[in-house]
Amino acid sequence: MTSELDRLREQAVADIEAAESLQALDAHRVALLGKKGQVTAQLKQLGALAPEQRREEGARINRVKDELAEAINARRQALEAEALARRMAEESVDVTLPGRGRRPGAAHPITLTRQRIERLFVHNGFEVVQGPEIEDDYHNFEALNVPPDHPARAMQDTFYVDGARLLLRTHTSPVQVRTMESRQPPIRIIAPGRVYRCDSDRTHSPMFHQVEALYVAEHVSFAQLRAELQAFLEAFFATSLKLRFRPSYFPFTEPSAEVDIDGRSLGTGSGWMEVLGCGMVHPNVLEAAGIDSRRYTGYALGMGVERLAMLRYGVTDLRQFYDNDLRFLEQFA
Amino acid sequence: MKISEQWLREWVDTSASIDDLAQQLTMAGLEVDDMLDGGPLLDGVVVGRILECEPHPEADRLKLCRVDAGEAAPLAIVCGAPNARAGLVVPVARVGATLPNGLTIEAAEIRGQASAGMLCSASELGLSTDASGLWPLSDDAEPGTPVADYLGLPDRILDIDLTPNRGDCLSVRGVAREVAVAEDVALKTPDVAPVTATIETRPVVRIEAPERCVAYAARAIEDTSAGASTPVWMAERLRRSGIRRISLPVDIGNYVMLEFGQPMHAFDADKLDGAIHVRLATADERIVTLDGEEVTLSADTLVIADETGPVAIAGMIGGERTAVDANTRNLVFESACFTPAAVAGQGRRYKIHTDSLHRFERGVDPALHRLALERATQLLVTHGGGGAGPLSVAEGTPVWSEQRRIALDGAHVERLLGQPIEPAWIEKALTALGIEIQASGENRWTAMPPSWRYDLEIEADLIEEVARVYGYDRLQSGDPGVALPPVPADGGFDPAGHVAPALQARGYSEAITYSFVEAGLHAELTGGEPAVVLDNPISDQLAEMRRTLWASLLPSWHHNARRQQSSIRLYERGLRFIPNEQAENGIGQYDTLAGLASGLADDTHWDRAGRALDFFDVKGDVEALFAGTAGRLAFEAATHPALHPGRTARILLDGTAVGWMGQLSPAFSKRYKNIELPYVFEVDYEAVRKAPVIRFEALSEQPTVRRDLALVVAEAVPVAALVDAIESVDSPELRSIQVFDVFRGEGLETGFKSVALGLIFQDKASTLTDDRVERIIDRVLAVLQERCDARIRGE
Repeated sequence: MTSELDRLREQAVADIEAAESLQALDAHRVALLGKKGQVTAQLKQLGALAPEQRREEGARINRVKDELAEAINARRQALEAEALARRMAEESVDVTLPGRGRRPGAAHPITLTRQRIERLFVHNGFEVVQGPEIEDDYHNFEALNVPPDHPARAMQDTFYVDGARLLLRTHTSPVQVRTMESRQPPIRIIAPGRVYRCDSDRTHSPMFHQVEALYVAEHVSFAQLRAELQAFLEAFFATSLKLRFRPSYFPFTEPSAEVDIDGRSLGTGSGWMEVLGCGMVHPNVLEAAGIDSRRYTGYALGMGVERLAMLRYGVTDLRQFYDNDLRFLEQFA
Repeated sequence: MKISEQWLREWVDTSASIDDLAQQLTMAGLEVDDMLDGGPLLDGVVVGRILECEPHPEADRLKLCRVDAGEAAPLAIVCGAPNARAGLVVPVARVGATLPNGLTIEAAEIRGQASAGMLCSASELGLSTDASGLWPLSDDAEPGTPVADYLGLPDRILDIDLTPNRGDCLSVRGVAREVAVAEDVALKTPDVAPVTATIETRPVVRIEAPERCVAYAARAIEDTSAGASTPVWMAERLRRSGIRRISLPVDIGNYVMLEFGQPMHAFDADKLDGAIHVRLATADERIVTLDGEEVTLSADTLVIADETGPVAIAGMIGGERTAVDANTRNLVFESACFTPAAVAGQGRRYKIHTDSLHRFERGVDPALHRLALERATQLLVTHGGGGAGPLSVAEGTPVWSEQRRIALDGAHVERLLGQPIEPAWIEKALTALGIEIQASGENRWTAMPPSWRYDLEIEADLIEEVARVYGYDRLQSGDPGVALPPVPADGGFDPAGHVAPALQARGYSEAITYSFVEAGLHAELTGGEPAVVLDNPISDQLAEMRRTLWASLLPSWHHNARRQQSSIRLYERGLRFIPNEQAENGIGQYDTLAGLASGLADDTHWDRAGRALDFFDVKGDVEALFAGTAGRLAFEAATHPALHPGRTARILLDGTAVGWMGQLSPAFSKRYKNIELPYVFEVDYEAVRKAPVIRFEALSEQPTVRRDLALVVAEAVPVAALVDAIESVDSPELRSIQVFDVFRGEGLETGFKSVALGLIFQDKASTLTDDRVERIIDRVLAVLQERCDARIRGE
């Protein structure tokens, strides 16, 4: 009987080890340990033995039973692990294949630049104000101290509308005038937007963008203008800059200046780069808008957004901004 | 304004380098745009005198010249120039010299005769376009002198970009004045001695429009030679300033204009008929100008006239009838001061721009006409011969009605500049600029600008002068000032502009297109509605201001479509322009957002075929614009001239039309051949910006209940009508309605469709019972039956 149990155990261990699936393993479990299983049958035969022998033999059979149960369990875990590994291998993907969906589009670089300018000024307490693009002569020129036939008009080639009754604004300065007409100082605004000049070649676009800033209050000075501009330009380019203020002429400011950046500050070479014009608001402009020029002074500055965008992104051909070629635009996404 | 360094240095004595001078001028507000070479160096080209000039024995057109080029023995040179003759002094390129045109001179034998160099025209030296013959140099030029030395080369040319306020700097004198101030040295004015009259002829001048003509000086010069050649030094200075040579009297006029800033004109005295009148033209009076153009004058144009009629448009251009020519012996020089107002706008009116007009528009020094006339007389008598009569000067109204005086307060200087400037310093700076000042109190003055400064009118102008001389770069930066409190953002849901990022996330890139568009496309898109038209477009293609952004977005779409872009999504925000009596200036200018899409719904992917986008893809994009507002968005079928009649929706926000969307009408296939037409949308951006902000609603923890309805309705019934009908039941428990299937075909009558709707119910306070839901469904079905003739499918 003992040798029969040994043979049984030996065969069972071999069968369990050889089971290739959970079903086969379970069949072995039933055949060995089930109610009608071979090990169970051995236990049933114990009743025929003497009590002394029965205890001893019973313990032996139960040891084999426990051993086989453990072997089955171990084999099950192994088979389950194999199955999981197989499934995961089947489910694996090539993570290097492209993702699905729609690529996002991009904001236009002019908009990105304009927003950057706006954010910096808004942070310094400037309010963003808009105005019409088809303007009248009064707001675009006369109220800005440029009477009809003034030679300064030749500085800005103008698009006229409706037999010269109206025009496309040549700069964002009319927004200054409209703002000053409608409220009293302190005034601290910026006016971003499209402007138009009747001029089209490699370096001139008939439509481009400006941002104008205006600060009118008591005791506004040229020194403050310098400080504001230095702070703005350094924040915009995120680096310290060497600036040059150069006397210039705009009919609507006195004194007037153009501001140049030392190219070495931006790593673009040794020349001075003109970036914007500015000055102290001409008393005639204040008075025309109903502001007491003896009490208030102000500064105004205006910059071309394209110029700053070209410097910031390294765009070299102005016309690319208006081709709206997706190969250009999507680089800014 | 181009000005020669050598000429400038004659007027100011300074050791500063040309680079330093350029820098100083730029920092004084006279921006030096460029520095150019005054001319080629001409190594190996020397002054030569033709000693003998014989015909070439073997060639009719050639001559054999023996030339003194400063060497021990004369050079034998074969020359083909028609004007070669013994006694002529000309440039000689010696063997070994390389001319600016690249030609290297070699010893040669020409038709059997040795030639050791070349006699040159001005053109061959790169100094003129005149290739008609040898360049005659002055008789007193020393043979052997390098031509570059003789001409004063090398020289540098400063190209100055003058602002319109500085008409006083449109001359060597004017620029020299600025250099003298910057360098703190005295100005060296050339000595112009009055020319003694040797004849008695004196032109009669009558100023009949005194408000427009400050002064008119004229002088007769008789028995001179207008055909005499202009001296080389003068021709060279004119060339370096970019002025073309015409004739001796005209060249002298231009020279004096460049030197002093006084425009001049010369009339042939024998062609003048009687007195000179400075008067307004009579209506439709005509003049043929020096350019040969006939101009019909308008009555507010100032002219110079004789008894016959106009002989010049004042300050602008002379007339052909009295023009000086090579045979002129007797002439009258004009040196006048017309006011800027007298000439303003005239150039644009007649489309004539001259150096003279350019100066009068900006203001010519009213104290200059006599001096300039003396200078011109002196030059003409010296180089053309003849004798001059006495000056004839008529005066009109002075430019400034009284002595103009401007009060200047040192405290105002400090206020505007943000820093005090020493009173002594202010006085020195203003005096250096020729401004006469008188103290009128402590740190206060009365200032009188010099006659040449038209631009100094008010105190701020003087403060700028102080700052300019002080140096903008020396001025301090101050505290940027106290910031004002933040401004409240406007009330709508999109003041921060999150609509644009929403579109970008859905694959749209932002375009910025011109606001002016092509009229033909524009008319097709708008059904020919009236547009705002430009008077002077950059091209006929871009003449109308857009009523719809589609008119400029479509060309950008087409640009990309032609470049094999399989999917295109673009949007733009900008103004639309619509004639509108109610709006300011009769034109409504509306902030607008528009977009278009064509191609695939999603980017192509390796595991699935791309699907062409359709109406509902773009509708989803439009809906996304309004995500986040409490406004109720609706789409209704409508027609639009630009759009496919079966694929067009008017967009409504809370019942108000705010835009359009749809597919571009098949009519556009002709224009855009072989390209799938895009879907487009356009919405009033103000409506987006001002759409009501969402109001938060408390969350409910109660379970939701869903009931699906499969309804059969006539094809013509839009789904929105079903949804509206269901919502009209006004059940607070009905949370939402989903359209989850639309079916046509098998099992349905032709002309009918089945629409499957999922109704989601939820009660805020308690669990819904089936009973309650069924009661609502009964009401829903009754309304659907009544309004839409809808029935449950299969019943």
